Amino acid sequence: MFEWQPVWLSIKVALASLGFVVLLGVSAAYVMRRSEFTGKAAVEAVFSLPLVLPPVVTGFLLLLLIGKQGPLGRFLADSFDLQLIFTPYAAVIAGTVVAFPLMYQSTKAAFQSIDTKLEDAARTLGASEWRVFWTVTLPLAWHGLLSGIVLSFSRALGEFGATIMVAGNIPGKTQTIPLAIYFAAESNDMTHAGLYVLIISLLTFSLIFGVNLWARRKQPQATERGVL
Amino acid sequence: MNRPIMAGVKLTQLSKQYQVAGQPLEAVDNVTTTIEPGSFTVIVGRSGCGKTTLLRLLSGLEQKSAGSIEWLGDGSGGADVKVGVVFQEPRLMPWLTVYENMAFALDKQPDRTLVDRQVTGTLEQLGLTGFRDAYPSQLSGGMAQRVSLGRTLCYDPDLILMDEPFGALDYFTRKKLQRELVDLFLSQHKTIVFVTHDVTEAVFLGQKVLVMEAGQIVREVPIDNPYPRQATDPSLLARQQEILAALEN
Ligand SMILES: Nc1ncnc2c1ncn2[C@@H]1O[C@H](COP(=O)(O)OP(=O)(O)OP(=O)(O)O)[C@@H](O)[C@H]1O
Ligand SMILES: [Mg+2]
Repeated sequence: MFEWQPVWLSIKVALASLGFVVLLGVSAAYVMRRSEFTGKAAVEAVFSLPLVLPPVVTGFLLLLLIGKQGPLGRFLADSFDLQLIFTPYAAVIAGTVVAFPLMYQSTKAAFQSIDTKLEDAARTLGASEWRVFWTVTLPLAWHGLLSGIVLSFSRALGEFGATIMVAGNIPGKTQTIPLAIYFAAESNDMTHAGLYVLIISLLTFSLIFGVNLWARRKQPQATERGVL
Repeated sequence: MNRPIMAGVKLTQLSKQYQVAGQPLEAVDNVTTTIEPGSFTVIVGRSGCGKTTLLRLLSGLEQKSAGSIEWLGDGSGGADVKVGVVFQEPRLMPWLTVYENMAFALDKQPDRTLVDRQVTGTLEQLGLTGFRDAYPSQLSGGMAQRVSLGRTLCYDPDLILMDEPFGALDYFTRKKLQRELVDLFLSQHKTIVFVTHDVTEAVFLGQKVLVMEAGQIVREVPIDNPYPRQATDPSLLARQQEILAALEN
């Protein structure tokens, strides 16, 4: 019997991760753009770490942090009677952590490519920094942000290594598409594995295709290269 | 909305130091001068002498290294002086129409009918009514610079800083905008500080011309001729020679 459950769960987990990633990635890029401090390079490196570490290592480190014996895991269990490990929330945390560098890097690059002249012009018209960000910086960086969004959503959707470490493979509870593919293939159920492969491929393809199409409509300057 | 405030400014030993390739560079060096409320001051000087840096200090886009900036003027009391800037390039938001670019400056005005009245009035004043819904990419350089000026007027600043605003325009457009700027100055009683390379433009516009060199003001030339002026006026030509001589030193 083919189960749709992993598909819906994957989409939910990826969307939730995306929400956190956008918030964290854009804020981090904004703060880093405006501040100079010793050790900035080290912080940058830490931000990019999940991109270069094997996902299973990221997952292991997360397990140490939010696992039953981990400092955060124990704190949440003691204070709020909350357990993250082996729940969909853990999958969201894993997705957020692995996708964060993609959003951060895209946003950082987008911010760097911005000509600060328009931001200055807005400031001289009495705009607060908050307003400059929303009405000038974001529209200018929009293109790069969008590609960050597509990349990090796809990354969170396909996350396997870190997810299996912290969320496990509980069918109906934490089993996402990549896990379903792996375990179906392992038990030689190639039909179901293939179906999931088809679904996730179609999903990511139509996402990129759709966003490119939309970007083309929305902003004439973006047509030349598309978003990705 | 049109607060009758004109701000002047008193600069005392104002300095701005940059680090360029590890070396300190005094972009603005010990500048002391007074810009009277309601006056038209022009700053001339060679490329790199610190004109833009001085304007950036006045507009608050740059922090001073030393000295003081003291605001003068009726009722301004020094606090919260509104300083508007017209840059060399129009710097319009490309995704906003002409109308929206101007309304951007009126964001703090909650009454949209007042905003509409102000923007429509300014569009009319600058001959831009027909371009109200155009995007910046659809405007000529002169038109775009007019919009940029209009946007600053909508902001209704107490002091307007202009950094070579007509530098990129052709001769005729520049002449036209110079005349319009004088008319505007006479009708709106704004304080204007105007930077230019063009000495002819300087004597045509300014009541006082400050000559800058290597971060310092080396000469102040007052020009008492009444507006509107004729560029061919011999007394203006004499002032022009005087400024050129100061520049060539
Ligand atoms: N952000 C900056 N960092 C370092 N040096 C700067 C910076 N801005 C300006 N300078 C230096 O300060 C000096 C004055 O520059 P400024 O732009 O004020 O000159 P300017 O008189 O406006 O020249 P121009 O007529 O070419 O516009 C120059 O030597 C310039 O290299
Ligand atoms: Mg300059």
